[in-house]
Parts: sequence; C-alpha cells; structure tokens
Amino acid sequence: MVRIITASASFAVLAAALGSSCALAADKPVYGVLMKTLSNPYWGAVEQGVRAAAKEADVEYFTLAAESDQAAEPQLNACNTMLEKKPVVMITAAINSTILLPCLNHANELKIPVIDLDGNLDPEITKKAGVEVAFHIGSENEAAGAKGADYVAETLGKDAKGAVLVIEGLSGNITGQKRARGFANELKKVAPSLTIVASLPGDWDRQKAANIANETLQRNPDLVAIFCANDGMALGAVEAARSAGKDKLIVVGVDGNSDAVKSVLAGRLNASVAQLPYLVGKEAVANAQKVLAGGKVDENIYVPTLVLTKAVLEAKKDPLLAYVK
Amino acid sequence: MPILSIPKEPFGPAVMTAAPSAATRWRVRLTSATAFRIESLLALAVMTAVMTVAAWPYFLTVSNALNILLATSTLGVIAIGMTFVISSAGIDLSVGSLMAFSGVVGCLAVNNLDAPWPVGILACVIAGALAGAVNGSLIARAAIPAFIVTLGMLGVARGVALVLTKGVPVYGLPDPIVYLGQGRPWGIPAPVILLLATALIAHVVLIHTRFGLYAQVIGDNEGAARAMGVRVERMKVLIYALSGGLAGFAGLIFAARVNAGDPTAGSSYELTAVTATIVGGTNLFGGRGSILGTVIGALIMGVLQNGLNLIGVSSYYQQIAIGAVLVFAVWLNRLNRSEGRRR
Amino acid sequence: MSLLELADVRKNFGTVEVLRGVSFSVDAGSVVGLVGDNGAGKSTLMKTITGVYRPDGGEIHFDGASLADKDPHAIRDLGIEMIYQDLALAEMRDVASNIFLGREITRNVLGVDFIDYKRMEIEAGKMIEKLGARVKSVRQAAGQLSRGQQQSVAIARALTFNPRLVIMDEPTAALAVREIEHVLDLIRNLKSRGIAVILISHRLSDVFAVCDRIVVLRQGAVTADDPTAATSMNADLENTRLYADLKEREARIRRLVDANIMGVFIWNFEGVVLEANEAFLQMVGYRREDLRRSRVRWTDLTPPEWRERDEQALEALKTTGTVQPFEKEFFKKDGTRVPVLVGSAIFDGSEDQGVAFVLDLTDRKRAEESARESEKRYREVQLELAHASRVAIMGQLTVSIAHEVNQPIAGVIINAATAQRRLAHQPPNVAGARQAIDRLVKDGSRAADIIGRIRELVRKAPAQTEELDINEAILEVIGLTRNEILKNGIRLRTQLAEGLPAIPGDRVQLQQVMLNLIINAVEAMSQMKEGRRELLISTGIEADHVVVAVKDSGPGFSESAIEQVFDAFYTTKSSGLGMGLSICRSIIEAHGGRLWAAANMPSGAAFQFTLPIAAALAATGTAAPQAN
Repeated sequence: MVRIITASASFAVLAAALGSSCALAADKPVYGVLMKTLSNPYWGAVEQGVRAAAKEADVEYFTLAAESDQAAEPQLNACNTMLEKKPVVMITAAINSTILLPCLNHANELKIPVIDLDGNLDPEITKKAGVEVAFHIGSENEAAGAKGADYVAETLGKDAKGAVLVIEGLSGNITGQKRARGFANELKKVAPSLTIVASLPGDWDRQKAANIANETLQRNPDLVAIFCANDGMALGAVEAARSAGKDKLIVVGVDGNSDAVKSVLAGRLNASVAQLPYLVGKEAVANAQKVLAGGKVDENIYVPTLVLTKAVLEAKKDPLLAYVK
Repeated sequence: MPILSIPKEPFGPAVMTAAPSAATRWRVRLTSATAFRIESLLALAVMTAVMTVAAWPYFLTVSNALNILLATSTLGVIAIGMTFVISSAGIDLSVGSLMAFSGVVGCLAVNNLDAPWPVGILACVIAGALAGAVNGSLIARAAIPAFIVTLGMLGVARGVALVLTKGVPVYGLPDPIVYLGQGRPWGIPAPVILLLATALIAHVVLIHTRFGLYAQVIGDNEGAARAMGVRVERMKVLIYALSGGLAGFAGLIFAARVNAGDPTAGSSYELTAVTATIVGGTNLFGGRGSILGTVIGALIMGVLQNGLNLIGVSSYYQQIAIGAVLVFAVWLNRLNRSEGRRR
Repeated sequence: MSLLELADVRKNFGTVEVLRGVSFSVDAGSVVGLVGDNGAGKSTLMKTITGVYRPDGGEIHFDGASLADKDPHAIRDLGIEMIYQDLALAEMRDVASNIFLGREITRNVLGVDFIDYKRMEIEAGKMIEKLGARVKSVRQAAGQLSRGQQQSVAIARALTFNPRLVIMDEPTAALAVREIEHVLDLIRNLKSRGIAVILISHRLSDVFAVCDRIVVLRQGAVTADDPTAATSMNADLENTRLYADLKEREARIRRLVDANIMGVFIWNFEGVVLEANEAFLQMVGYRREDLRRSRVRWTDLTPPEWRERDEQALEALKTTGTVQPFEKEFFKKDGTRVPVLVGSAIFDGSEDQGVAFVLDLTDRKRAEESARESEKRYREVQLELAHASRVAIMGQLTVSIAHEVNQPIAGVIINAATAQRRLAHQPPNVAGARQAIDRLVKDGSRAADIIGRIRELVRKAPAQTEELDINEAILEVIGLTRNEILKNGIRLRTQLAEGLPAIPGDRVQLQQVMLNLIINAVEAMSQMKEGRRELLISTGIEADHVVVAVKDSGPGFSESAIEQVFDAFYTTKSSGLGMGLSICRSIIEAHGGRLWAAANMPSGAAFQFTLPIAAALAATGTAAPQAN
C-alpha cells in the first residue's frame, strides 16, 4: 500500500510538472489543433507553421495527436477531450473520413467552427453526417500527384515509352489515393506512351516501398519511373533502384521533407513534390482567424505545391522555398 | 442433489456451521473469491485526484467524466472478455482486430445487404463470437498455444476487414444502431450504459455461474478441472467465443459511435485490454479474475489518457505512461501472489 | 454379479502397451488393494475406469452398464469417485468450491443456474465436520491448507456424492501416522456401508489392514489376484509383502536418485550406461537425449590411465558384488576431465548390470589444492618471522653476548700470556705453561661454543626434530642471557627437575621461545624503580607433559591483556616487532604443547609452556614448520 502511495505521489509530481509546463494563459483565445500523429515529420512541420501563425496572431493553441496514424478511436477520444477545453476553433486532421464526425458534430453544437486540416474529410460524408466545416485547407493532393506526372513527362519527354510504377500510401487512405490518382490521370494526358504497370500500397513504409520497387524491377526491367505517394517511400524506392544498378530510373516523391531534400541535393532522389506543410499550418491559423473575425474564406483553400529538384534547390530563387522546412 | 448423510459413527450427526455476517461474507467474496484488489480502486482515486489538480479546471466536470466513461466503453467491453480469457490462463490478442472485423461485418450487412438493423447488431456479435470460437477450437483441440492462434487471428481478422471495405470506412448506419453509440438516455451516453450492463452481467457470470467458475478453475489447475468432469475443451471454445463476441459487441458500439464501420478500429487494443485486466487485479497466470477490477483497470487507462490529453502531454509520453502502468500492475500482481503463498 | 468388472482392458499410448489385458472385479462393499511398481499401469488403469482415458480394448462394466462411451462427468454421476494422488484441487478456490467442483449446487433463477455458494458452504462444512478434518473455514483457499487438510478436502469431495465405488490413489502417502489411521478407519467405514473401495498404495501395511483382496499389477497385466488376503497369510501374500517392501525400498532409492544429491547411473559390463540421473549427466556434461540414444558408455568416459583401475574394480565387482569407493577421473562430453569418487555394486540376481554412485570431487580437489598452497605459504612466512624475531632479539643481546664472548677471549689472552711467560722463564716452566694452555683451549672452545650457539640461533635453519634434553637447552639459553640478567640486577633462580625424559623437538626453536620469555621478563623488571627483581626458571613433569615456567616479579599485566599478549603485533615496547610471543605460541603449539600466561604471586607475570613427552614426534612431524 505504501508503495502504491509512493508511486502515485511521484506520478503526481510528474503530472504537475507536465501540467505546469503546458499551462495556458487564460485570457487569450485558445485554438485547438488535432493532428494525426506526431511520429511523422510532415505533422511536425504543420505544427511549426501553426506555432508561427499563432505567435503572429497572438493567440494560444493546444495540440493533441494520436499515438499513430492508425489509432482512430484514441483520436476521437482526444477530440472529445479537446472540446472540454472550450477552444474557439477546432483545426482537425482526421485519421479517416468518419472517425471524428461525432466529435465535430458536437463542436458544431457548441458553435465552435471546424476546420479540416489537410483535407481528410470527405464533403459528401460530412454533409450526410450534418457536420459543418468552415473550410478545408491543404495541398491539393491530386494536384501534387499531377505535378509529379508533369515532372516525369518533362524529364523523359512526351513520347517516352516504358513502364511506370506507382506506390500508394496505406490502403484505404484518401491522401495516398488522391496523389496516386492525380498522378495517373495527368500522366495519361502528358505522356500517353508511358504505362503504369502496377499501383500498389506501400503503407507509407520505406522498407515496404523498397521491396515493392525491387520486385517490380524483377518483373519489369524496362521500368523508367517510380512515383511514390510520400517521400519516405520514395527514399526507400530510390535506394532499391540505385542498388539494382538502375541509375537512370526516375523516382519522384511527395512532401518535400528534409530527408528528401538531402537526397535530392545528393543527386539520388530525382524530385519531391513539396507540400509545404509549414505553410499549411500557417495558413490554417491565419484563415481561422479570418473566420472568427466574421470574414469570408473559400470553402477549399489549396496551399500551392512546389516540385523540388536539384536545379530548383540550388538556384534558391523560388519564393516558396522559404516554406520548405 | 444427492448429499451423503451417513448416520453411523465416526461421522456423527450433521451440524450446521454458523453462517458469518453478511458484511464479512461480502468482503471475503469481493477480495478472496475474486481477484479484486482494493489497491486498484485506490490507484484510480489517486490518479483522479492527480489529474484533477494537474488539469484544473477541465478534468473534474460532469461532461468530462462522461467523456472518460465514453472513451472507456469499447475498451472496457473488450477487457471484460479478456478477463475470462486471462482467468483461464489464456490470452486473446485478436480482440482489437475482431472489433474492427465485426463492426465492418455489421455495417456491410445493413448497408450493402440491406439487412434490418437487428440483424446488423446480431451480425456484429456473431461474427466476433464465431471468430473467437475458431480461436478456441484451435487452442483446445489442435493444442496450438493461445498466443500463436490469436496472433494469427489478429492478422487474419484485420486483413479481412480491410479487404471487405477496401480500406475505406463504411459510412452510415440505421438510426437505431447509431442510437446505441450516440444516444443519451437520461443524459448518459448509451455506450456507457452498455458497458455497465455488460460488466454487471459478466460479473454475475464469472462469479455466480459454472461457466465463470470453471473458466477460473481451468486457469488454476486444468488437470483438476478435467478430473472433476469439467469439459475443458468445450469450455475453452466457449471462453474464446465469449471474448470474440464481446469484441464484436465493442465493434458494434464503436461503429455506432462514429456511424461507420472502420476497418482500422481497435488497433493495438489487445494490449490495452490486457493492461486494463491485469491492472484490475486479474491474475496474469490464471485462476482468479474480477470484472469489477477490470472495469476499474479500464477506467484507470481512460483517466490516464484523458488527463494526459487535457494537460496536453504529447502522445509519446502517454505511451510511456501506459507502459509503465502495465509493468507496475504486473509487479503488484506478483507481490500479491507471493503474499498469498506466505499466508 | 460384481459391482465393477474389468475384462481384458487394454490401453496403448502410441506403440507402448501400458495395459495388456487387465481383468478383475470388485464387489460391492469390498476393499480391493491394487499394488504394483511404478509404471505397472495402475494410474492408467484408474484413469481408464474414471473415463479420463478411453480403453483401446476390453470391457469395463459398472453395475451392469458399460462405461465404454461415458465421459468422466457421467462416470462420476454413476457413483465412481476417485481421489487423486495429486488431489486435483484448484488452489485459488475455497474449500467449498473444491468439494463441489464439477457438481456445484445451483439455484435456478429465470432459467439460469446460479451457483448457490451458501448451500455449498453449509454442506461442505457438514462434510468436513463429519470427517473431523481440521479445516478452519470452508472459505479458506485450498492452496493455503496443509497437505493433510488438502487430503481431507479431497476425501470429503469424494464422499459428498453417495459414491458406490471410491478409488483412492496413495491416500496415505504424505500423511502422519495418526492421519493414516484416520484414513484407514474411513475406508472400513465405507466398506461397512456397502461402498466398494479400490486402494492403491505402496504401504503394504495399509493394504493388509483394510483390504479383502489384493490385485498385483505388473507390466500392464494382473499377476496375482488373491481373495483370501484378509484371512490367511499364505505364501503368495508373503511374496506380495516382500515384493511390496521391495517396492517401498525402491521408491526410497528412487527418491535418492531423483534428489540429485549425487550422481547415480546404471551400467552393464558391455560398457553401456543404461540409465543415469540428472546429477550424473550434469557432471559429465551429457544430455538425457544422449543417454536415450545409448551414446554414453562408461568405458569411453574413462581416460586411458584409469582403465587399469577400472579393471581392478570390475574384478572386485565380479567376485564380491561391490567395489569400495575409489577416486578416478571421467571425461566430460567436451573432453575436459572431472575428478570423481566412484562406488558401485552389481544388482542382485543380475549377471551383468550394476549401479554406480558418483561424487564430483572437482570442488574438493580445488579446495585441497588451495589449502595446500596457503598452508605452504603460511609455513614459509612463519619461518621467516621466527628468523626475523631471533635476529631482533640477538640484536638486543649484542652487548651481553659481546661480554659473554669477551670473557673467554680475555681468558684466552691472559692464559696465552701466562703460557708465554712461563715458557720464557729460564728454565721454561713447561708444566705451568701446559696448565695455562689447557685453560686457553678450554676458554677458546667456550668462546667457539657461544658463537656457535649464536650463529645457530641467527641462522635461517630448517626445522629439525631431535631428541633433546630440555634442561640442557634451557641452561644454554641462560648462559647466553646471564650477563643481561646480572646487568639489570636481577636475581636468577633455577629449579630444574632432574631425570626429565628426552623431548622430541627442534632445539633452535625451543631455545628461541626460552630466549624470548627470559628477555621479556628481564625487560619488564628493568623498568621497575623499586622492589625485588627475581627471575625463576623451572621445569617439571606433569602427566605426559614437561612443564617449563618462566616467572618474574615485574609489574605483570592486567587480566585483560593476558590473552592479548599472544596476538601478533601486540607490543608494549617501543622497539619490538610485537611478533615474539605470537611466534612462541605457534612454535609450542607446533610441538603439540601449550603456552599460556598468568599473573605471578605476589607480583609479576608467569609464562608457562608444556611439551608432550611421547607420541609427539608424529605431531611435530606434520605440524612443526617444515622447510623445503
């Protein structure tokens, strides 16, 4: 019994310490920001953007995230918890299109505007569920995919022939699907002679993407390009391709995270379609502020994307480069 | 019931033993016949107090209390099934996946097959129970370790759920089902009522029926159970079917809560459920279980997560805290065992 | 018709035939003893009767009904109860739940059977009371009960449901005598009530006490079935008794073997190790697997140089049946060797098999080795110290010794001068000169003597044991110290007993002790400002010891210091090593004697030591310091 009390007491001290470090000033409005997970640099960059914008706007923000991007119910619970803190706005990046709906419904009831961060909510479903979303903000994933296709066509030429591999995200994840879809549709338009021989889920997993690249190279030695729905997988694929001796093979990722930038500068990864998550976070807060002030914003706000290639990075001219973190 | 009464010496006439007071009986029942430990209740109280202070004033409100209960409901139902399994010295790692699988099956039944809503409810529970029965049959009759069988089912059930839905949540359920997840009779969220009802029934089953008693005796001394005519194999099939069925029920509650069949639901819940069960005082090595303890264990997990969320502790630290709680609970469990031996 | 009838019951496990056609019957109200060695198939037979195993052949009928397709539960319901040797209790459940395990009392509410704990507790309480078991509460967990109490619970469980046949597997195995009587009474009581009992027991006295009939099971078949056991002690029964006694003994040996206190293995003359316990396998680094595949041969385990010793041992075994324990070595599986002590015996009635007991001597050998090492180092150090101590004392004595040597040398010079003068005389006084030269020679040899003795003491001499006259040795030391004594104004008295026997000992070492004691006494008294200064040196004989005492009239020492003075490095002197008395004591003890200190009357200190007269040679031979 004594041990329990001791353990509890030490736990209390810990909790109090944590609590005080995260204490919020009561007088400023609090923005609630619900991420998918923090175990991904993308969301880290979003948070940095949020922080910068919150500082500019002189507001407090309160971040929560699930332990992984598959922990759906914990995210719903975290969402409910967040409502307890009575935020003035809920900026949420739902793990899937349905999980947060009951919580967002509740937010609507409390007259708290809901913002769909990174475009994870499906307007059709939110409509059915009666959830009102103030605006959706994020990179247009299909556009990002399309930009990847444009890059491939530009590099290989319009009439290039050969096989192309697409590595999607987690099966069922809308972001990955959109990117892959955007790539496929655009490729048909700009380089009709290139054929997509496979479009497989890589589960956002670097290792898995590397394996898929390897296996496809075995089957299709004429492979000329690989498009991956995120940078992590692209980094896996490029290493697999290079170690198979395919130095000319074009590998394109999406996100523009720091590892990808390093790889591009090192001349390994050909290009990454940067989503500028920092800008996404920043714009989300800025536009939320507008909404709260009674202003009008677009229902869908697209944050531009930028194709990072060695040339672009070394030229250092594009103004959007400032948002590549 | 034939009771031997032998009239001759040295047995002598039958004598009534004095019945102890009701209060004593209660206490003995609560703490010795079940594995319930007053420490877990104390731990919950302390944790609540800590969170109240650390997350003032957000934690200690009625709506947050209901939040915690709501957040605990699916986990609690799963952990109740786990209590039966662990009491019988087994383990069921497939519960999280079965929760997703069953929810998806139920949603597809009403959405794609246009089944009436009661069928949807039954489909959830039966899908889970059948998968659980498969677990139990493989464990009891094919003598494959429970750990392996249920680990396999973890993968299979999750995979089937993803295949059935192509990875996309199936949105939209009939209102009566949605009410089970979102309704608030008397202002209390329906899942909370379902959890408490499940706990009450499970408690009675565990303590006051042969099924519950035998589950614990199998965990205690399987040979003795067998020798005394307990149909051990059949019991094991039923125990895992019950665990699967309750996972299915949790899947139903979850689907109703979010109005969708989500193939990614309940990921890694098996570990949280084991934690809640052990924290509640159920003997890790079988023989004794406590539903009351398990509910408290689940609440400890819920309070911990809710409190840490309110404080704004990063999810990384939350995982550390939950892991620490599990190890601490198992340590308590061992402590309890060695005390039992000394006595 | 009998209550239970077994006809040609067979049971195989894989290819192993455990029951090879067992037939016997049990009448209502009779007690049948079932005896047989371990592995005879008793347990299998019982589990086949109670339905835990399905028989592979034959028929079992209970009260006319076949048990072939009945499960354990149904068979219990027919009235066959079994009390298992391991008692089959759920340790975390309470007594009541255990008694009713598998047949709980239930109460039907709304179509559901709820366990009626209350009634179960009452009924269990009654049953426990009837049995007179000392179980405090039926709510106690079975795991918290003593073995005897657990046995009572298991018996109570069997008797609660009006059994018609009770099978007891070793019910008295772990019980005290009084509790055994209780169990036997119970069996008689059951019999008087018409309940049949099958009693499995290794304790033949139990079987004879209560059984009407004894069935002997051997290798899965009935070899004896004697209905007259209870009335006549015929030859068969006698055989059975002997057999059972043998079995009991075997069980004991089995426990010894399984306890793994020592290595045990069974071997044959062909060199195969047929069976071995864990202790032996561990000793030689083999696994049971190796044994099973007959990979372990004791002949291969024996290093070549020990083969001859093995041959002798085998010779002894063939002629006398046993071989006394002898030391040898075995090869371990990894090729290293392990020193062992092996004893062996041939099995009675077996031509080519025997059992061997093996003790691992690795630890002992190592301990012996290190003991020898440290003993040797200790001796060397002691010798060094004794030498250092002698040198130190001699240093202190330099002045006295110089004086001592000076006197004869002065005599030599004077006598030489006298001789010269007498020879120079005209006419030469030859007779006078010879006289003077005689004295001169005498003085010269006296000086040589003294120097020789000093050198003897200072030399690092190896210990030598000789027969010595203790008085003479003492007088020599007194000679060396006389000057020191006189210089300090001390009066020396000697009381040396006459006719002391020769003592075996090391002259130099014993003289060192005397020297030490005398110098100590002298120094102690030299510091006295007033009072008599007297030193008494005496020898005497006491039983089989010579006693030597050195007593002074100095300041003496306090009671508490008496034993301390013998501690190494204890000293009251500013110049001493503090080793003197400590070394003295070890020297005396090495000679088989004792050295102690006491207060002298009326004042001063008395040091005394004893030396054994006879049989001391052997002692000093091993215990006295030895030089290499």
